[in-house]
Amino acid sequence: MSDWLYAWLPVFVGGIATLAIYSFLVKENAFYRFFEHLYIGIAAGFGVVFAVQRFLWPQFARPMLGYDRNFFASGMADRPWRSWYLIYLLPFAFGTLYYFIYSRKHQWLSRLVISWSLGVSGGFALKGFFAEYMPQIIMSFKPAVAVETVEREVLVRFGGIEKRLPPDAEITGGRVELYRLGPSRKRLVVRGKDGDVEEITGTPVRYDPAKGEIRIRKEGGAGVGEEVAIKPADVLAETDLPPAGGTGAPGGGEAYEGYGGSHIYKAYRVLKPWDPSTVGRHRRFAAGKEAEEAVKAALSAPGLDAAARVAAVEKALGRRLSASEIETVAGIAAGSGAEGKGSGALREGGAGGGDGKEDGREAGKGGPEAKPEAGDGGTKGGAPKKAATPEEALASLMKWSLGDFAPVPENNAGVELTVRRDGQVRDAHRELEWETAAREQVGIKSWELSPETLRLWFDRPEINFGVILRRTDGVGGSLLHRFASSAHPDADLRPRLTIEYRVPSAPAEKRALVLQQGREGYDEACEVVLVSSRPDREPSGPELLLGASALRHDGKLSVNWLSSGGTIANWIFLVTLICVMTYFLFSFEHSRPVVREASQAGRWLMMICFGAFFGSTIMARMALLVERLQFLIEKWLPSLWGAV
Amino acid sequence: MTAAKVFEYIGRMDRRAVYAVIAAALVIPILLQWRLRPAEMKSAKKFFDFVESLPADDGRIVLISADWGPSTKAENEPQTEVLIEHLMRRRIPFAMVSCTADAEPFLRDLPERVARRLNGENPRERWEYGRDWVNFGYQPGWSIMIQKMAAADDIRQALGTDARGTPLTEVPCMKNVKTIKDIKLMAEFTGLVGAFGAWVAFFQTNEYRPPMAHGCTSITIPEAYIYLDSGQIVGLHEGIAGAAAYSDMLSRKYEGRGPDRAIVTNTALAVAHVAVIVLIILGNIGMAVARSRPAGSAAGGGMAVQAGGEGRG
Repeated sequence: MSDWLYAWLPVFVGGIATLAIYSFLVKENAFYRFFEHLYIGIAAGFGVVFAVQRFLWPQFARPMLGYDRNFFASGMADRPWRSWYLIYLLPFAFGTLYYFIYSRKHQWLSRLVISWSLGVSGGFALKGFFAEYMPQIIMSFKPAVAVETVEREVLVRFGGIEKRLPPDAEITGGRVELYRLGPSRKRLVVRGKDGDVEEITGTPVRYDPAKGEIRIRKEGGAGVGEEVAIKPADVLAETDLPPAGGTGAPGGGEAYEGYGGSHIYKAYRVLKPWDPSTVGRHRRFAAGKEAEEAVKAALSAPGLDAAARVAAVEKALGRRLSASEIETVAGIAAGSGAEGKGSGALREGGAGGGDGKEDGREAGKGGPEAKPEAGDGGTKGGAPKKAATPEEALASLMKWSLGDFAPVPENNAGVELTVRRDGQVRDAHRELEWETAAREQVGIKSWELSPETLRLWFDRPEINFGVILRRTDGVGGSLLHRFASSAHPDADLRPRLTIEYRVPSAPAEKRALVLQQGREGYDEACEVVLVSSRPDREPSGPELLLGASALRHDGKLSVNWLSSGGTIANWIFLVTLICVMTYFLFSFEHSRPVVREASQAGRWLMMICFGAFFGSTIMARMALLVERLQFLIEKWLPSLWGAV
Repeated sequence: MTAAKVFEYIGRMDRRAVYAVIAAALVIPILLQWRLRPAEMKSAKKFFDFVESLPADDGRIVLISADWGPSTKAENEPQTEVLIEHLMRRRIPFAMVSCTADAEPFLRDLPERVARRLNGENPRERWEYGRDWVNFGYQPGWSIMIQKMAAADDIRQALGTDARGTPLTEVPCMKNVKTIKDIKLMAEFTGLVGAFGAWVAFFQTNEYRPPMAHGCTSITIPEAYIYLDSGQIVGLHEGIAGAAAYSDMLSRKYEGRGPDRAIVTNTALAVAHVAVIVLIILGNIGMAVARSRPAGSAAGGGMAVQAGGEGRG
């Protein structure tokens, strides 16, 4: 009985109180007044109890009196009580001076407390000002043009390579593979019952409710512009495909569709350690830039012999140089920086010394697949090479180049999508089958890694900082690209590193080591995929009102006057700003037609804005009413009915 | 009765009749448990995607500051609830805290309610206090408390015990949580002006500021957008509509997910908005009709004024 009463009584009183408060809408009445006062009284009482229970006792009195100590059975405490804990009483006494506000004679004492409080609050406000407002001020300097997106990076790192490869393995190649998860907008795979598979990509899909049809316009190939109408109307919820976007990949590289456009990610080896929780674009590139400057200084330093220059460069880079790199650096020293004096230097990726010698440290590490980069003028096996200039050597050493990586287009798997939640949708009339998948997925994206890079990671795991996949080009803009991370519930979709190698005992046999979290016991937990954005802040590129950005990946301003992403919104903003300023600030006579009309427009636009704010106010108040009504309908009435 | 007289009558409608219409527009969808699919919201999508991108088993936690009480429960509770559900489904441990005393009961009840629902939906799995979440309880001091947490060498020592009195060092999900760097997302829900600003201003160190997300009441959306535009938050729940959009995304991701109240509330609100708009239009027509008639023959225009005055309460 008592349990029932305890459960029922609060609901009953709550319902009565709710009705009492809303009875004010009819008119002011005693019922309303009583519950209003009751509410204020309860709030005051609650506040006193809380002040004592949650602050005065646990955070003030208890530690001061030593009651927060642990006592053993013998009565001994785990630490002694110290009389200087009573120093807590000083600020407490100071705070109680506030009560002198009620004394006309000693009121000045309360002002001490008030001024102290205001001073502390002012100090905090100043302290917090920069953290809170500076980013907003910086981001408010936005050009009124619309544009492309900024690039986003994906960082991937695999550990434990050296533990899992045989020491004498000859690495022949490898690749890093990521699984791209679909965004909210998807593509379709339509499978005909006759076995035909039709992949519809970058295609507008729209629904014709009058006919109950979904119409798909196919793009590309022989079917350009052809419309296919199919009838599984209940797949509608998931077919909000983007407008057709380009799928090409100008300039090569890895391309896939983002939101309404293709994007190209290229891979760069990371030279410095990074913390995935704090890494930011600027910080990372600053680190790269810093290293670059140090290497540049070491390469250009006058009066250094080959060994000293190599040592200086290694120090600047924080790693040992490979044979070819040593040769490059030494070539600069031998040629005193002069170009074209062949000391046999090869650029990055070159194997085999230019003078036919191989550095002992690197023998065999490059592997037979290692190739000199195109265009470096070098040849294998001892032909004299042109000495690198400091600039060429710098480019080679910094490896912010694409030499190590190349796309693997055949791994760009087809796409599947979730058409609806409850499984496959079939349409017997059209002999089409909409294939559904349990996951939103776009497919494996793959980037090749050179044997040199993998060998370097094998030999020197301490400098394995992984790779950055950086968006370098592409069409359209999206701020969101999602890849499956190492914590993805489906182990098959997690990042994967494949290393191909041979062992001397069976040189003809190709082997592969696959590192993937959760696979074959690999649990190094070293690979990290950062998706979508830097975790701690948005990219620094100025973003516009609707999220478009004004910076291209190369840092230049990109102006697209026809973009609907940001241009329209910014023009509206600009016009509103001018009109409202005309109405308010220019206190000259509005006699000229242009000024008069602009002023009128400003007034109207302002009213529209006020209306929008007013709508928000209404919404908040009404949401509160909805919640109360839900309480009355779903809890109070059934409870009351049960009681009766 | 001519159309002009009807409009004129509507223009003179008693404000209590307007309240009755609004009440009916709200009650009917709730009674029918009507669920209209909410509009997609970019800010909520960002929030959802960010939570999706969080690793589940790195030993770090999400901190949820529920700085709200009964006065903004209608909007802030569903916002907090959908985030809690998402974190629980992804098995991302989280801590509840509040700077307002009013929130104390919700800190306790809300995660337990979601856990009960999930335990019911997935009998083979268990969501438990301590392993999946911890309740720091109400923490007085506001900006001072925030700075204390941010600067603490060991948050567990700084806060001492959870709301149940268990030392935080003994709570399983706090095992690896020591400093602010072990908080991978800080989400704050409030209807109070300036409350979130304190977290933005003070919850950071020189080396690290956790990604932040925010849920606000409809009335403070314009302010919250500043944080979103400046990149200080990774996502935003815009009133009940944001919670409903998030709830919808959860339903699409997790098949068989049971209904929650966010979408019903949002639907009732949408119907009431339509009712308000219709009443405003009719009231203004009534006013225009009354003005067009000879002076002294009719009085109108009250409707528009009354509808406009509603929001000041």
